Amino acid sequence: MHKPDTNEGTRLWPVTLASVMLILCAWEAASRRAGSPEYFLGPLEIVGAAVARLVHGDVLEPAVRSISRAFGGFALGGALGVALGLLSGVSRTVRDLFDVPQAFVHAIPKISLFPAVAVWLGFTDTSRILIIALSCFFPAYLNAMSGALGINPRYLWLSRNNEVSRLASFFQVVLPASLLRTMVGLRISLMVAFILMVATEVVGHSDGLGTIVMESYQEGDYRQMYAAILYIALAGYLSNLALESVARRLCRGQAMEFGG
Amino acid sequence: MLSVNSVVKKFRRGSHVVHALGPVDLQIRQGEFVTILGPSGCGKTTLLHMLGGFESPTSGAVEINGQAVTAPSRKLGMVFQEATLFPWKTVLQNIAWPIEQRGVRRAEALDRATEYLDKVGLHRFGKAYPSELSGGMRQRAALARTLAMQPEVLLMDEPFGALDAQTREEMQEELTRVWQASGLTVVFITHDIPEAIFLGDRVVVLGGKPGTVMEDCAIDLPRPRTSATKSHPKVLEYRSHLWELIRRASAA
Repeated sequence: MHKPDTNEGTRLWPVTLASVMLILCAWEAASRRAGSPEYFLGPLEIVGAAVARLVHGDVLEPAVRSISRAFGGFALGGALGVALGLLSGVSRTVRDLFDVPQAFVHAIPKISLFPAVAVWLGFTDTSRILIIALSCFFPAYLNAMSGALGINPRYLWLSRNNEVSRLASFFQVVLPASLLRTMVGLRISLMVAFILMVATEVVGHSDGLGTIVMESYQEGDYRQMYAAILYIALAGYLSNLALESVARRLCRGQAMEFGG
Repeated sequence: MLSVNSVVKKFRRGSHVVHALGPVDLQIRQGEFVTILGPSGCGKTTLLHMLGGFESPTSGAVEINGQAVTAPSRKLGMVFQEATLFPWKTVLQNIAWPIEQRGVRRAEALDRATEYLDKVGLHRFGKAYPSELSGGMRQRAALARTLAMQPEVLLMDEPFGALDAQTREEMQEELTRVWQASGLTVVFITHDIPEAIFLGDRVVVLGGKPGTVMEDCAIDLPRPRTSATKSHPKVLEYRSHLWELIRRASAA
C-alpha cells in the first residue's frame, strides 16, 4: 500500500514556505553580521525601502510606464507569434515562407537592434515596445508552430468526416489542440518581455523601473536600487501567475502537464 | 448499399511501387453488419479508409447508393482505434460537436447529445473530461459522437483493439444492441476471430499480398446476439473454419 500521489495536484505549502523562510533568514542574518559591507542589504531593509517608496508615492508612475511597455510588447509580439506560428504549423507554404527570415532574425540578440530602431524612432516608447514585441514573437511563434505540427492527425480527419471547412477547423480544432504548447510559449514570451523591458529602460534616456535601478546604482543609493528590483520581480511574478491561471482555465481537461 | 468495385490500392515507397490491395469487390446491403477479418498488414485499414473517402483507390471505385465516394462525408461515420475525443471538451460537448457542425445551435445540440449519451450508457459522465474516463468509456463516448453525426454507415477500425478482454466483450454486446436499434450499416475491421463471428452478419476474410477477399462467410447465428451466443455450437465451427483460412492468409 502506498499513499495517493501528493506530488500531483496539491502543493506541499509547509515545505515551500519553510524553504523560503530559511533562505530569507539566512540572508537577513548574513547582512547583519559585523563586517558585512554597506551595500549588502538584508531582505527587511529592502522591503522597508520598497514600502517607503510606495508610501512616498513616486513608484507607481514609473511602474505603470514600465509594465505597460512590457504588456504592450508582449501583447503585440505574442499575438503575432501565435497567429503566424499556428498558420506555419498548418500550412507548409506559410512555414516555408517564414522559416529562413525567422531563423535569421531569431539569432540576433534583440537588444542589439534597439539603437538601430532608435535611429528611426528615437528612444521612445514605440521603439521600446517594438523591441519587446520582436523578442516576444519568437518563443510564441516557435511553440505555437510546434504545437500545431504535433496535433493528432485524427483530429483533422474528424473535421473532414464532419465536413467542417478548413477555416472553421483551424479555430475549432487546431487552436485548442495546440493550446497547451502555445501557452508554454506565451509564458516564456512574458518573461522575455520583462527582461527586455529593463534592458530598453537602461539604455538611452528613459524612465521606468529599469531606469530607477540604473540611476540608483550610479548615485550609490542601493536601498532604492533594490527596492526597484523588488518591484520588477513582483510585477513579473504576478503577471506570470495571472497568465498561468488563464492558461489553466483555457486548458481544462488537458492541463495535466502544468506544474503546480 | 455500399459497393466496392474492383478497388486496387498501390503505394509509392521510394522508387518502387507497392501493390497493397486488390482488386477487391464487395457489396454491403443497407443495415448489414459486415466484419472484415485479416492478419495485420493485409490492407484492411486501407480498405476502410477508402470506404470513408479518406484515401482514394488507385483504380476502381467505392460507391454509396450509386454515388461515388470521393471525399469524407457525414454519411460515412468513422470510429478509430483510439477514441480521439477532444481533450478540451467534456464528454457531452464532444458528442454535441458533430451536431453543432450541422448548424444546430449549441444549447439544442447539447440537449440532443444527451440522447446519444444515454444510448451508450454514459448518462452520468456527460460533464467529465475524456482524461477522466477509462478506455472503454472513452470508446463508448466516441461511438456516441459518431452516432450523433447521423451517418448511414458506421466504419469502425478495430475500435476495441486496445481494450482489455472483459471490457472488449462488454463493448461488443453493447455495439450489437445499439446497432440493432439503429438500423445502421456497419463495416467493422478486426483481427480477432471470435469478435468477427459474434458481431457480423458476414465475415469477409482479407489476406494475401496484395490483400484480396479470400472468403465471404455468412454467419448464421440468431439475433439479437447476447453473451449466450458465444457458446452457440455453430460458433466453434465458424471459428475453426476461419482459423484455417487466416493461417493460410498469413502464410501467403
